[in-house]
Amino acid sequence: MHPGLAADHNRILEELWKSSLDPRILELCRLRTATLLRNRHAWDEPRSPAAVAAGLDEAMVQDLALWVTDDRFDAATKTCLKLAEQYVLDVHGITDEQVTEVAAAIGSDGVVTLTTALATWEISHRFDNALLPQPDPTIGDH
Amino acid sequence: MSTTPRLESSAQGKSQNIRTVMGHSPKVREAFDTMYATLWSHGAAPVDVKELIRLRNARVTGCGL
Repeated sequence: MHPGLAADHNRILEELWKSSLDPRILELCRLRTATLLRNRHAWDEPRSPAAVAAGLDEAMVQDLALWVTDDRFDAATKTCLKLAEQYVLDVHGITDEQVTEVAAAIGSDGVVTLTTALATWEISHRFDNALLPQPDPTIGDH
Repeated sequence: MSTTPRLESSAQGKSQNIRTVMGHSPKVREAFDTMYATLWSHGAAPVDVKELIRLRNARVTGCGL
């Protein structure tokens, strides 16, 4: 990536991880969008230090694909993962009710943070997919 | 698809747009603005080409703004 853009991109990421939104939710959403966009690099990188420090459960990470029915994922996390999936698969399918639900769970600042995070990670995932060799094009059942 | 903003403006008395809505998370917004400015002011691609790409991308992704 262009050095100036890379620095700016990293600064956005720093601000996202420092935000009031639970970094465990952010990390789970980051990994889920990586799976949906088939970016293996994101899974092979070290987990977010902020998320790990907040108590990210690696067993939940490994079972991330099961989030819909897995009770270890709390309501706020599920609400955010639902938005993350919808954002990646069909952003126009996001509904007013869905955003209201997310805002009730994480606040307006959280919605802005999460949405910006999804956009920022989409840049990363698509950049990796477009310009870097993919070690394994299939992400398995993550 | 929504035809009305889904979040209130963060700036009292100002209507909702990407800046006033992103203002709910001011540091994130500031970092985003910085990257956006770099995108337009640096790099090998001419600005007119960037604008064409921006508009084409907006068309393909269905962004009416």
